[in-house]
Amino acid sequence: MKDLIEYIVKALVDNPDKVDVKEIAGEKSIIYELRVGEGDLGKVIGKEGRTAKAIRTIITAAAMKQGKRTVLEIIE
Amino acid sequence: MKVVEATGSNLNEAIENGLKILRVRQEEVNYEILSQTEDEVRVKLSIKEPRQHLYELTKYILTSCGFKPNIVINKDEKGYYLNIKTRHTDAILIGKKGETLWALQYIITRLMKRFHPNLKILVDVSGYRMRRTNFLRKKAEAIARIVLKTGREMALDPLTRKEQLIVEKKLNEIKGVKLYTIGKGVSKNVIIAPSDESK
Repeated sequence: MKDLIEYIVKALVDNPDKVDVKEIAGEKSIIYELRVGEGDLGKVIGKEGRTAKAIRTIITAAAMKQGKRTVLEIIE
Repeated sequence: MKVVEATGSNLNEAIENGLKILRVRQEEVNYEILSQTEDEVRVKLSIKEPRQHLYELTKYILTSCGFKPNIVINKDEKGYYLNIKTRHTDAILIGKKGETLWALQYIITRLMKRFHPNLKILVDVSGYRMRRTNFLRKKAEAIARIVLKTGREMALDPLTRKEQLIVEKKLNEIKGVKLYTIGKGVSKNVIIAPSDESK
């Protein structure tokens, strides 16, 4: 999952080297902390938050299969 | 940029470097060795043709989410139609009101557009879109008939923008009814009403 987030985000931003994803796993939930380079925040969020919403929806569906919840935090 | 040249001290390193420039995975490219000396290898990486690329990309996204997908890709004059089938997990992939399906469609098109800008892709899970479209057409027709018979307005369940277009298209074929919406956002509702000319 972590790899997938990294792969998608790296494909969208201008500075792929500055993309960093951290996974903090809890018992019932997983938190993904996504860091992107300066100025790339908008690219990850997208028009009206569409890109961020799409990424969140996909990881939520994946986690649902394992009966878990997910949170994706995006930090510049 | 569909083609890139890269160098490295051995073959793997050269490919790795090229993949970094393109920001793709090895499954998405074909490679060709341009020159090879003892301490440097030069390779040319090119993105696979659309059908193969689409297949590898979708397969990667779904398998890393823990699904075991069976992907069938068909091409017609409208573009590529991609149908995903899984065992027992189709409902999760479709999501509430097709929410997850929308997200998959968005991410896949977005990632494919980098290399194939004019490609038209329609993502589907077990023919859900086809079923939903047929269902909506039939429902719109049935309700329109009742409206014509009774002369009273009737509301449909809340629809997404695309679903509303399907209903609109169908109703344009039927004379004597018109369509308007009330409310905004989640409470937006489509009303089918008898049009003035039928009175």
